[in-house]
Amino acid sequence: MSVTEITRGRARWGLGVGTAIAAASVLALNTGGSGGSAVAGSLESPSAAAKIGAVQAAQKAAFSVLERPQDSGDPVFTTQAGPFGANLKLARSVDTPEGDVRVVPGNGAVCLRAEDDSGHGYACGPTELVEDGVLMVAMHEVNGDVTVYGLVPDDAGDVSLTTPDGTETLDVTDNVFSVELDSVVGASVQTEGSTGTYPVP
Amino acid sequence: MRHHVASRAAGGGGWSPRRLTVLGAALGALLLSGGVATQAQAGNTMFCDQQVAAAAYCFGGTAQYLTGTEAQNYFSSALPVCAGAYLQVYACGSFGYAEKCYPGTVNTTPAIKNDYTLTQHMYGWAYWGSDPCP
Repeated sequence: MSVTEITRGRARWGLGVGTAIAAASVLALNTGGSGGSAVAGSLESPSAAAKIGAVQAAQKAAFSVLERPQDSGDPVFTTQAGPFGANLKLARSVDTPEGDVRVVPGNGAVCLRAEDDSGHGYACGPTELVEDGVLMVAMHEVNGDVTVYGLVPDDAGDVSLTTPDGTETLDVTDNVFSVELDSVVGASVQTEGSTGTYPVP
Repeated sequence: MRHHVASRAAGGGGWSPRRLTVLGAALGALLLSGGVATQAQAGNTMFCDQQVAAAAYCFGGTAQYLTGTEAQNYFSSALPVCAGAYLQVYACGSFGYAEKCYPGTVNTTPAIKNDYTLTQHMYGWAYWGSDPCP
């Protein structure tokens, strides 16, 4: 499955990013422009969005981890909004073999927030795309080691990782998987519930 | 400190008024050019808005005590991007957005990376000093 098939042209992001760069060489891969035009230096950071007040229905429907009651270890109490309106007070923390990672709902987006020794990292994707695919955040250490966390929907079925060394099935807990790699070259993730192949970033 | 310098200047050592003027001008120029970053400084900026070749980086020009970097391309796509800084941990995301936050204690240059196999247009934002990472 190509990137074109994965994207499905469902951008509704109003960020002026999609078709703003119509001449970009990847246009053929991005079937979902959102219109508008970007002026150099004027695009607002996704972090400027107002944070949401509640987990959105589509997010609960696709990711049961966001429907479970929160416990004391789930939220991060901050007044700051995350990217795309992500609200850390609504986060769910998932304990994985590679460490804790948070699933954070945003405004039409879902995010993964992973912590490491030097702070934390975020990756976000549109809910409507992630609910049919795999969202990954990969923390690349200076020495080349990579810790990967992934979010898959409830109906993902088995999740497998393919590397040059072979294919293995990954454990999924609360919609989340994790794996440590020496390199992400040639690594990709597939799910039983999707025909897409998702390169590990 | 100012008293100390004034004392030396008044004492007729190596600190003549002319030398102090030259030294002050040099320090001022250095600070104004951003060549010296301090943790007291704060700010954020979009440092990248351009085509980035496959596996290439787009660096911000000036080292800062970074608190975070954001990278974005087409958020509605499944194209991978990375956010980070020179010789620091990078965070990479699979859906056109990634953010990496730092404690703000390392003076380094912000950077984003195109993690895709083709050129893509990318945006990068940096936060530093007391401006917190989103």
